[in-house]
Amino acid sequence: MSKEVYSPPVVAISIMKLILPKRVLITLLGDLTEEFQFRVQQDAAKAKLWFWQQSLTTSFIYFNEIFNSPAFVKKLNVIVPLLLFVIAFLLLTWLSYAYSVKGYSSEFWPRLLAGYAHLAILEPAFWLNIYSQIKAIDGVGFLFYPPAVLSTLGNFTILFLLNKGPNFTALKMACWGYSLMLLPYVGSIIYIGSHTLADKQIGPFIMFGLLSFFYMVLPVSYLVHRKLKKVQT
Amino acid sequence: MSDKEKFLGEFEQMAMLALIHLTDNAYGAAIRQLLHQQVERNVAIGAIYSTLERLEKKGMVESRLGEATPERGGRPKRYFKLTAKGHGALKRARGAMDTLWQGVAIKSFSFS
Repeated sequence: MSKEVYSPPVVAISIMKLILPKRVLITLLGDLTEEFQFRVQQDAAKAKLWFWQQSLTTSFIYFNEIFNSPAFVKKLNVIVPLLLFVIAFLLLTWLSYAYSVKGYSSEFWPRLLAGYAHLAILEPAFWLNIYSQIKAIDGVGFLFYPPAVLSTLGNFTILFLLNKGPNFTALKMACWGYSLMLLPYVGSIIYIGSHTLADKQIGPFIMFGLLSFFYMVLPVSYLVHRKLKKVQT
Repeated sequence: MSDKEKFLGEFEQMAMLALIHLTDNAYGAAIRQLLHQQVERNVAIGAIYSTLERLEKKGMVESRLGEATPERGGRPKRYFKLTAKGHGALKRARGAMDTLWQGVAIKSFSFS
């Protein structure tokens, strides 16, 4: 009687091809296929189930490895802050040079008055008009607001003092740095929400939060990057 | 040498001992089966590769590519072997455990 030939589940193999590094993929797939061919002669359904279980667990192990690798964290620590920096710049430009919220959804204006300026990026009108607003920029004065500068200096003083401690790791730097970066913006939303303010009074609070965020995002990324480099060396 | 490099984990020791048992036939599937049969530990093949790769980076294990066979879908085997550094680390780990086990008796409790 000739042996029936079964193939391992194609989707399970595709998942592993997507996640596993090339240096292990071929030999590891060979090992799984070899054991699968042995098991499939006893019970084909069980063998397929075994193959799925092995491939998912293996993919999870390597997925975890990628996420925990210093190289990945370093890349993430560059890409995400750069993206946030650009978004903060666009929001600041929009807040300074947009003349109306025409074309925005009806719920947007009340949300903006509650301090949720970041929700503008979810509005199609924001992206449609942003280029003309960038073209209207006539100086860098709109990126300067003394209270935000002072708050940022205070935050960096805190970070430098913490950094003098012996056990201030890259993770702690990231937690403290990015929390201090978000604090003024979150604080401004809480303040606006808990006080009765006229429409005109709200703008400076939003600018304070956003500019503090804008000033801090890249330097914090750099400080975390420096710490990660130390860990690697 | 950092503490992490100095001490071997339980699974690292098991994988290294499997390499010694399997001598010239220590590749992924064989290691997995040996651990399953001898110590009833049904591990994922990825856990074995991940552990052996880590040990290879530390210089305790070395590997070479072997022959490709039809039942492997034409894919080659990767044979692992313990290095002198690996042997030393394994001996140290055993010595440490033997020292700690000296004079220790674990009573078995029965709740019936």
